[in-house]
Amino acid sequence: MPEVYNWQLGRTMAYQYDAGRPKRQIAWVFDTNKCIACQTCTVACKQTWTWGRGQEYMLWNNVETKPYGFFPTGWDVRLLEMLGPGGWQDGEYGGQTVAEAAPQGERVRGWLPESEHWTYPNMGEDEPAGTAAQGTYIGRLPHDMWFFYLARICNHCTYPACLAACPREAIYKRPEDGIVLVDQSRCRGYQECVSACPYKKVMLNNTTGTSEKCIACYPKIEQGEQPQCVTSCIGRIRIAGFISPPDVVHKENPIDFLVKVRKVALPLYAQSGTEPNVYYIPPMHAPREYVRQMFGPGADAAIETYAKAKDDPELLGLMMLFGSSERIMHRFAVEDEVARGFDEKGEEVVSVPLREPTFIRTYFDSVRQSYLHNIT
Amino acid sequence: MTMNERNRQDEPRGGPFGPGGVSRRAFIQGAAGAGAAAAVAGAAGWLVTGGADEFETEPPKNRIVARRASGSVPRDPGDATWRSLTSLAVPMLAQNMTTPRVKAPTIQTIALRSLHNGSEIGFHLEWADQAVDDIEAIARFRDSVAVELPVDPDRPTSVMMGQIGRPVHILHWRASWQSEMESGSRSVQRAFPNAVNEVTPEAVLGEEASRVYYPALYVGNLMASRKRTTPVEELIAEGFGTLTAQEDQRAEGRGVQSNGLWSVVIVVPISGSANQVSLKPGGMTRVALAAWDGGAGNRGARKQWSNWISLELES
Repeated sequence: MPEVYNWQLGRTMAYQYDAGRPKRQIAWVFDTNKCIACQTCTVACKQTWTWGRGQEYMLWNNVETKPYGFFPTGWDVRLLEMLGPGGWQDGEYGGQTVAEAAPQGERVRGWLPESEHWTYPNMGEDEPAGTAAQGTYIGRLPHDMWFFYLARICNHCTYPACLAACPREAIYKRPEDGIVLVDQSRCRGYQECVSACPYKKVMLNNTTGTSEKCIACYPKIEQGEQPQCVTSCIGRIRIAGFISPPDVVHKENPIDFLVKVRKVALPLYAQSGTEPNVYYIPPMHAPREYVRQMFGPGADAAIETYAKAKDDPELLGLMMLFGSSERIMHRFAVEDEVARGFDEKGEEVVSVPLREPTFIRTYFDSVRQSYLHNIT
Repeated sequence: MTMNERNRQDEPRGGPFGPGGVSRRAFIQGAAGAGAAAAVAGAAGWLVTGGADEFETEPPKNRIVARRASGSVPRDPGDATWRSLTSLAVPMLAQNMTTPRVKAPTIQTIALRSLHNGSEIGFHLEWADQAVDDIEAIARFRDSVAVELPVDPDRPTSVMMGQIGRPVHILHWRASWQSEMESGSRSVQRAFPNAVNEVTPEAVLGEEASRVYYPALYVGNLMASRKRTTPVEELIAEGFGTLTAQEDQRAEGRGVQSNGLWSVVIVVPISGSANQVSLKPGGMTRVALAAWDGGAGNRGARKQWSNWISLELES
């Protein structure tokens, strides 16, 4: 197999095909600390793309509770078991990727979920891990008792396992934006991609007999707009844009700034080796061992930087731009307590104050001779 | 040796035992080279390609004669005409020439019979399989069998799905397509009889406008067809990963499962378009078989295959 460079692993790795990075790569940043699992993203996606017969169980976007929630059941536990202990040293992953761990005669090490695995999307919802004695005051991080919400879509990986596994080359990665698609005229429903995807984000349409997956709302992206799951998010936890190639950093690019400059956003289970392009701001309150396992060795520094965001105008400003515009922001700038986002042509699409103005009224309104419930 | 090195050493590096991790594109380039080599080698060379390498095979060891029928070629696998023919026991091999492979073959032998009447040719295939797997759904695969013929009997080609410029014509019978025809319902309705979809695109938009929500159906992928008229699909291929449905679908067939035995008949006209076989009574060609055991997770390249068999059409 050819050797390709995976910047998330800090090393080269074996992959089915030679490296062919797209002209530009769509990427997302999700802030796990802000997600409340309202599933508005899930519903927006479902109503847009997967309301047909045969897609009943399909959730191209889902939000699961960690550590006990999964869709499909046990997907990440199975992935970790398959890869075995890996370990990182000086930013380099020491274990095997799904391609490197492929058994003889296979292209990728994977597993094929059965219908029962797809049956419980809400498994483990709001179920905490850890214990806390009655009356415990949770005044420190991480919390003794914890859970967090993990919103998931297709990672539109740089080295997709689904694409590598398809013996028909029916899966392709668009050179113009890096979106990974299943060719619906070529697919014959072998489900090799379903088995191979470490994130289990390719699913068989039971009615058409072909595999389908998140299409990154490409009709919107082609118009310069962010996908449905991003623009519908009421918690404004998401931003979508284009990430620069590994050796390029544009500080004013929102995705580059979060992933490469402040390094607050990290790939999900980078050890899969697919170079996923959804980046997560890790949860501050979950145990660090768990967070490091999920988001890699950069998790501690990411949480520390994120915790100081209020004193970092650029980071704070960019966080305020999350969910503030339907348009893809190619550039952002923070000046005089205002964050601004700009589209591809350099035109301003939105401006947001870093801090909303706050007015505090007196508790007692002397004019009306009454007490006020809401004073801010 | 690290785990990575060991794993990579396990991957074969071309040669007759497979292209290993070679992409289809690399394979086709290799196969195109093989085609040129074949042209030099002349008409004697029946080639098996193995990625970048290729080698000539001996003339097929096995030979079968398609007897001439006076009437039509019977579609019923139980028809006495089929039983009156001598069968050829075709040994089946685990597909291990390309990834993904089948680990252990579950179908060892297929009993092959053939019959023609000057305008149609039929194949009768019989093999042991204890379970009927006729549903395609999540992680469920179907029993099926395929017959492969060179499009041009005079142009040698690879038994492994043909090669560039030397296509093969494939006739693929599926238990799932047959059960869809017979039951009048899609696999999914039998896999999930109690599934509920409260609001369907059809109900909201009507049958025609809702097709866009079934993309494979919309683009005409036969996998998604709602109107099955035959359990046999006609395909063309020029190497691994190139398998494509023929524009002209004419083949018919029927399979019956009893006493742990699948008996399948596949019938096709002996001549057709430029992409389809063109045979003549008294002529010679080759035929190869492939079979899938759905219960063992067989699909695509995870299959049993046979080498070429000489096929003569009785004059």
